[in-house]
Amino acid sequence: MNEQILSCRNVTMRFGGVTALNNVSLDFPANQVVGVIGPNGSGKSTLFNVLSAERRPTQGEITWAGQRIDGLPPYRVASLGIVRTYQSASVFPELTVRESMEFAHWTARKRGGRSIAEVAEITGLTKFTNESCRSLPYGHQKILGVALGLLTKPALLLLDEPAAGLNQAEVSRFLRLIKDIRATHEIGIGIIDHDMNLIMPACDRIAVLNFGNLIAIGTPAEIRSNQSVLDIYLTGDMRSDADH
Amino acid sequence: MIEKTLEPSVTSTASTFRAQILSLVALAIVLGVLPFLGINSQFMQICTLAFLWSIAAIGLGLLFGEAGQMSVANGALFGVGAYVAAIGAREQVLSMWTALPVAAVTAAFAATIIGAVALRVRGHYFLIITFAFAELWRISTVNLRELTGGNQGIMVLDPVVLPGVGEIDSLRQLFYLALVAVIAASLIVAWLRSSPFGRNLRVVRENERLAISLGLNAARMRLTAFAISGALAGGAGVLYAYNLKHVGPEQFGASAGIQIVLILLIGGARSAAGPVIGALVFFLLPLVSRLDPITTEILYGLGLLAIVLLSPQGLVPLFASLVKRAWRKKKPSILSTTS
Amino acid sequence: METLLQQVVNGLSIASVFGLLAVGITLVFGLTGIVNFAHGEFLVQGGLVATSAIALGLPFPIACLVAFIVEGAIGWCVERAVFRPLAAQPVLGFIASLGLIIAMQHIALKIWGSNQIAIDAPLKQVLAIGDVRISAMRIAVTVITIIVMTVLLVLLSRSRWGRALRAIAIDRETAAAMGVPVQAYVSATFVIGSALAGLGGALLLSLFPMSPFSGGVYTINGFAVAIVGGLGSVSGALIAAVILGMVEAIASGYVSPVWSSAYAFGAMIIVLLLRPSGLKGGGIA
Repeated sequence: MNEQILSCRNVTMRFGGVTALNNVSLDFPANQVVGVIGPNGSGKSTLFNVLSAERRPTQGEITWAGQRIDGLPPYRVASLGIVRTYQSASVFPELTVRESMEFAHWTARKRGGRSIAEVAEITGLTKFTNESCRSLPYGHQKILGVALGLLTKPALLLLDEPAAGLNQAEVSRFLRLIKDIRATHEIGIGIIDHDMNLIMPACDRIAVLNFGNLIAIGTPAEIRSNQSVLDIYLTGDMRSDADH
Repeated sequence: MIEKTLEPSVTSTASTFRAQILSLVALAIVLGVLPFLGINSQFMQICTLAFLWSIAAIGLGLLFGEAGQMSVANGALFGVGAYVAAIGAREQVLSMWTALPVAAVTAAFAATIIGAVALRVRGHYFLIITFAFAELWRISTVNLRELTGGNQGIMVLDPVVLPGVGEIDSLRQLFYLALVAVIAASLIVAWLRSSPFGRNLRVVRENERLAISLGLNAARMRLTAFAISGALAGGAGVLYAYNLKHVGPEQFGASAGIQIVLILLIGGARSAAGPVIGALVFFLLPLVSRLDPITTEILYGLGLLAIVLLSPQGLVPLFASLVKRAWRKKKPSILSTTS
Repeated sequence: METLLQQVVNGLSIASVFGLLAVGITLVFGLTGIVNFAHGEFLVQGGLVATSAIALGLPFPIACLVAFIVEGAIGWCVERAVFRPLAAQPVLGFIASLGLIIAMQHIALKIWGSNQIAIDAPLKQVLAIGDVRISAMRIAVTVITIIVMTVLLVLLSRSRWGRALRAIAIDRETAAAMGVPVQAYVSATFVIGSALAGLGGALLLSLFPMSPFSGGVYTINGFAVAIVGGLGSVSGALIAAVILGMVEAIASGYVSPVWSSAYAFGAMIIVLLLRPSGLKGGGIA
């Protein structure tokens, strides 16, 4: 039986004279939370674009549960259970929250999507169900993006800078959300972010990218004390606040 | 206090559907009464042709109004249906009734071929290909003389025969036949709009990238909508051939496609009754204005520009919302969403 | 029976004019994402303007210049009034260009009537190379258009303006932040594209009569060349024009020339199926 792992092997991504990813190999198992951190421009979003098949890598392969998936159209990858969210809030502006959720639930009808009521509750969107997506405040739109992903009952959720644009209270709530999700269902999560208050407590493992290279991977404690990683981050904000 | 279930409130889709059905019923009544109001035969025939063009616009309304995909090819798809009917009549292999499904399927097939190529790449290529197809259709119908009659086209002199009733040849009977067809087409599209398919089209329009990332085959959605719009146009083309009694290459090229776009935008791309109203405006205005055809076309071109720049949701919906606002000032009532 | 050389020159002369169209289309698209279906109408109008200029007694080269300037000016008006307000919504821009087609075509009909237009060929010589006879006019048209496209390409890759254009095409916001007057460049690009189309119309007129209704066909040919070359690439348009010219030349020896649009259309389909970015897609030069 193939383990449910999304893995990229020797992935290189070049475009326009820039090498965005250089020979990166990384695993995202469906029972772990893996963080991806690194300075701006280090290739983190490109990595997610390649994993979700929105971009084809120049070299390398992507496999899911042992099968190659690079070269599949993005909707196929998503229907296999690998769903990503976007750095800037991405919603269906004119649809209501309810209609958007019904849609996400529908796309997973063969797999059996998660209950809309349940997802709305744990993401705190229940009172917004009849509002149009465009009328939601920015932070809620980002949460909605995650809710829609959850509704498709994915095996792996790739979150691209979920904390960007959220205030500190929203980030703590988001951290609780991730812990709730992990507690109730078997979902792997990949997170790109800069906010260490989210990454450190949430992740089982953290990968560090710099200029497209994977320079370190390990537990939060290991990364926190890794010299080459600390060298990249000039300030010492690798330490997070106490648990929430 | 945690709510365990979502409130089962009335969704906007259902109320829109009801409003659309109501508007179609009202439209059917108003138009059905028209022949009894002493209109002359020229007027009646123009209305009949307007109904048939509006069916093509209704199909485009599904593609553009719901899925957000514009196409200039629907005039050519209309022509596909018309030529299928004309050639079928000439070769004595198709009556009008057998031509209807054949034409619808042929046009849907043509749309699928065009779309399959065009949808592999980004949206603007689709538009360019629809434009190319429209022009290529016109060139083909001119040059494949043996099949299409070339520049002269084909006369369609077979009568329309209604089973159980006999020949239909009076203008009034043809008017009602076309009216039934357009109401049926409108109902079909209104139903599709309110179905999960319609919602998926709207999802594609609102944010295609997001829809794909959640697992939707967006390209196939748009292709299906395009095929349906083709089927409607093709079917209408059959009726058009039998009404006009002649098909020719100049009728169905890019300018026909643009005409359908204009009709749709006058009436409102997302409304149920809009395309019919748009077609009636388009065809009846020249009667009223007494301008020469070329000047009329100039005004239509500028009119399309004006609509796009000032009121892209359509002239009729704009008008309707102005009326509604005035009405609301007089008496507050719960009016459902625009039809 | 024409020889291959004659066919090549014939095909090249027409295809190079479509190359002019394609360059305008590809520049405008590469810079703004605008798909302007009315582009072919600028070409037809250019021809019409040239006939009027010639009827007023102006020599052919001046008529070409007049067509160039007039269509450029109309292009400026169209960009200002129609495409600039719709810049944020490309779909509406497409639809607007459809309205432009109708309006422009019928305004032209009103002014010039619906008959075909033709002029006496300005160059009537026929060159004889061996036993092959080639029309000097066709050679002149080909040479002029290729020179114009090459000049444009050189400007694009070497000059300051070309650099700015390419910067805008790659990242509009950054270019604006660096002080590049983006809107001025966008307008200028549109003006140049329309002007080139007008010039193309005048040149095409010297080869054969033109119908005021043929705008759509020219538009499609222009788009086909632009797409085969890669939407956004000027050098691609140049190369594609040459290639398509050759293809049409050779094929038209065997099939009726009315199908020439079908070759361009077919090439476009093949490119879109196999390599959508075209010969040189990505980047403006």
